[in-house]
Amino acid sequence: MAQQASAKKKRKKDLQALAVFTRGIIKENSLFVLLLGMCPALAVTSSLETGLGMGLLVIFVLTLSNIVVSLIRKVIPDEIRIPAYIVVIATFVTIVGLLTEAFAPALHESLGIFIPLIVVNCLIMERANNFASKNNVLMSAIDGIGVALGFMLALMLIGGTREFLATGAIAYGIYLPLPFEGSIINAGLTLFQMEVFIGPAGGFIVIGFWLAVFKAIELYNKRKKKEARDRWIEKKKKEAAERKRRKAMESAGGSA
Amino acid sequence: MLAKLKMALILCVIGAASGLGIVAVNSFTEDIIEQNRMREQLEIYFDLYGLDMPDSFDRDDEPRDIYCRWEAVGYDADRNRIGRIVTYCVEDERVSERAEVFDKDGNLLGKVFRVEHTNTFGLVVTLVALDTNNEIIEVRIARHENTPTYVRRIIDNHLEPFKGQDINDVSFYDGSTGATSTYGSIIHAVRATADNVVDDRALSDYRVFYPDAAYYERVFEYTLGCIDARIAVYDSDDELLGHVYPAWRANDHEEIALNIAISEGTFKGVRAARPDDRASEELLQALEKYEELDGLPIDDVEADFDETVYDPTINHLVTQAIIRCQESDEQREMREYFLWSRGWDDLVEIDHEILQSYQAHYDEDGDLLGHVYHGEIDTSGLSGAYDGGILKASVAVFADGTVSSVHLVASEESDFATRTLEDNIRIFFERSEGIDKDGLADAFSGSTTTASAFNEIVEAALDYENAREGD
Amino acid sequence: MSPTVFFVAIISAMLINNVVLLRFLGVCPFLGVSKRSETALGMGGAVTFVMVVGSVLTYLIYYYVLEPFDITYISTIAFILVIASLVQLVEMFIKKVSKKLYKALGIYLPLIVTNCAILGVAETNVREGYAEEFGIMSGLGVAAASAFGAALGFTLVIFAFSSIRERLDAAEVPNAWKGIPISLIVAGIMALAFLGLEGIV
Repeated sequence: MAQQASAKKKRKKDLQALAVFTRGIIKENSLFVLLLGMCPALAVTSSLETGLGMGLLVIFVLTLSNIVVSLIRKVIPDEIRIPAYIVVIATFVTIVGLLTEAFAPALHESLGIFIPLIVVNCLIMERANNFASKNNVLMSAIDGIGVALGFMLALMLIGGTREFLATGAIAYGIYLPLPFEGSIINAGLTLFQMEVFIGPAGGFIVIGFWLAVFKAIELYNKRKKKEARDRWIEKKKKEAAERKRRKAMESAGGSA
Repeated sequence: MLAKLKMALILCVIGAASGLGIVAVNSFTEDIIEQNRMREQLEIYFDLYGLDMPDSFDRDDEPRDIYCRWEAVGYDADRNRIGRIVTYCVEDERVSERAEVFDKDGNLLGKVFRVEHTNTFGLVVTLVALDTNNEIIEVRIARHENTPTYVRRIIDNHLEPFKGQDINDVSFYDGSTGATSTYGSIIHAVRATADNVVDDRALSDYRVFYPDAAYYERVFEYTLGCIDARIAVYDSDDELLGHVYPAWRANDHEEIALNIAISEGTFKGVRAARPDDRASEELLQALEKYEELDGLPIDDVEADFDETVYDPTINHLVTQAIIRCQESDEQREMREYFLWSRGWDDLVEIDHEILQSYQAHYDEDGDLLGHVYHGEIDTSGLSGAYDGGILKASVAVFADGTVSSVHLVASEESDFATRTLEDNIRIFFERSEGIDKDGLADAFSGSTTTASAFNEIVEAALDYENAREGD
Repeated sequence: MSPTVFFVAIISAMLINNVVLLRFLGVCPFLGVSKRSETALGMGGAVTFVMVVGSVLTYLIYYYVLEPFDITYISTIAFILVIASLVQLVEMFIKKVSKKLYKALGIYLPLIVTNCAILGVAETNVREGYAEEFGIMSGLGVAAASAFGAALGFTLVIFAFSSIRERLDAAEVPNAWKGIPISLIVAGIMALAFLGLEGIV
């Protein structure tokens, strides 16, 4: 009996961990839903690979800062919470900056100033303050990976779109030591060589476009849900009315 | 109070932990980052000419030739020389530097022009490598901030056709589909190279004194003093036009680099050497006054100096140049030991393990400056099975026990290893002036057996001079 | 060094390399705060002050502390701490000195710590190598000038954008595009316009 109960409890915990993990990727996607971390999303997404690179760095920083913040959450007095978090985050950002410069110099060069700026990425501070400071280490780590993964996927989506529109190819860069050479898709379509999408204006427009697409999907789902609910209410109403009528008839019949 | 103390303590602990973490990661990555930077700056030149990849570099950022920006020597794992890069300033602002690449035997392989151009999307650094016949060996993008996809496309498709073309007659790819900003930067780089293939910053400065100058030759390098070298300038018929003495000195405000020209007893003028266009307004104004002296016999020039009218630093440099142009070969040789040497005794043979002879030097007033020691050493006994043959060197030691200068006289090593040794000596002892016995050990750590042999001679000389003091 | 250098630095940082539209720094407040013109100006004022003072401080720290000790690799952590404490100090100072000013600027100050434009401009100043080009003290002037220009550019853009958004709220926009998406498209068009200024200096 006890064993069964504990297994059940464990499954529940697993489910919860899974929920924490997936929530950050889709339902609470930091970029498309919460609109956090807009600056790097615009600046470093001129190609799929830069987006991927930035995303990896954010995964590293966010996961580790979440773990450390969660570890020290009980000893940190409330008044100095924010400065302590800033120091923790800035430390990991510096470390990740040094490691990138050593092992992926081309990526370091192309991300440039946006590596130190991970410090002020609101996303990381927000997770430290709102999640890691209240949950245990494991959950914080899972949350960090999930949220950062969602951020990375968003960056890759934007980067891939911009790269494809501007060059007709995807992942044709030379930044990351990727296992594959050359391009994933190289349509070579001159039609798609619109340089404006690599430039600053393209960043704003592509993010705006994707936000509108996700909003449209959300609106559609909402409408569908509302319609279903309306239908359900309608049905219930009808049933209730039917019951009432039948009852009335029955009582009328009974009395007749 | 206690709570506040606790807060401060916690912040300190976090700060210390973070500092520790960063310092640890930094000490781990520092070398790799440095290596990456080296690779970008230096190895690429070796790669362009198909030389082996060097294991280590010695880089000199302040070469004696004032037209040089920097020079670097690459060595393999056994510290044998692989090649040498010397970079020069170029008058044209489009070209940031011109590098000459030499192989291990000192043969010129070709020139590389480095062009940095900023297009709409950012910086593109292009290297155009030429062989000695001015044919393009390779056009390479060293660094860029452009869209990687476009750059990759350019690298894949449009750089190959440059190979083997004559730099003065290059045909560009002009298909409209490939004409991107990056390719524009490359065209810019190749054109800038073509315009500067024959340009020589130093020569154009020497033409101020000798309008017909066609080429020049460094006759001597002076190791001591503020005059760097004697440069002979020739016209196109190989006729000697005169000499130029580049001079360098730092005063309170700036580093002064001058060219002083003297031709057969006539003072041709003194002008600022313009390598980085660093000459200040004050210096240029001061130099203007000296233009009156152009064309005077050198004896009159010396008589003409007036500290209130002219600049004392420039006066000093011009005086030094005039001394240099008048001295005999023997005087020149002796002044390589002690700059202020005006008289010397004959060689005195001595009975010593390493040193063979010494010679006393005196200054203008006949006071003792110090002694020059000539010594030789057998390197075979020094470290294990290594045999570098006999090494001969001369060391000039001031009477106070500090080194004035050191000279490698002969080495039985192969040319190859000797050059490496010369590099070492240059690097360790070029600025050895003033080093005493304690300083010697610092200047010397971590070098090769031949260089240690050299060190033995220097040490023996210092010991001998110190013992003499005690007499 | 002629005064034109400062002028060029200001114009270039303000228009040609506009922080928000072309360098993507400070996009969050740009999208979040600028709904009303007055708010935009208040934010602009606060940013201008902190950006100029912060740039000067970080510049001095970089060249007089980090570089002599050869620890420039900790610049990020040093800069963010300087900026965060600066903001805290400014907040306390304004609160003591002028209640009116505090009311006008106070609420924006905490937001500034996470405004990447401040840290971004501080980092750019040392990366651009003004000190190597003009000497440390003159470089400080150029760094301050370009920080001032960047802040002006920030203010200009969020003010212009807030005015546009006041109109935009009244416009008929498809449901999915309402709010942030259409704002981003507008920002994109503004960026295109600013791209036209390239090559002035």
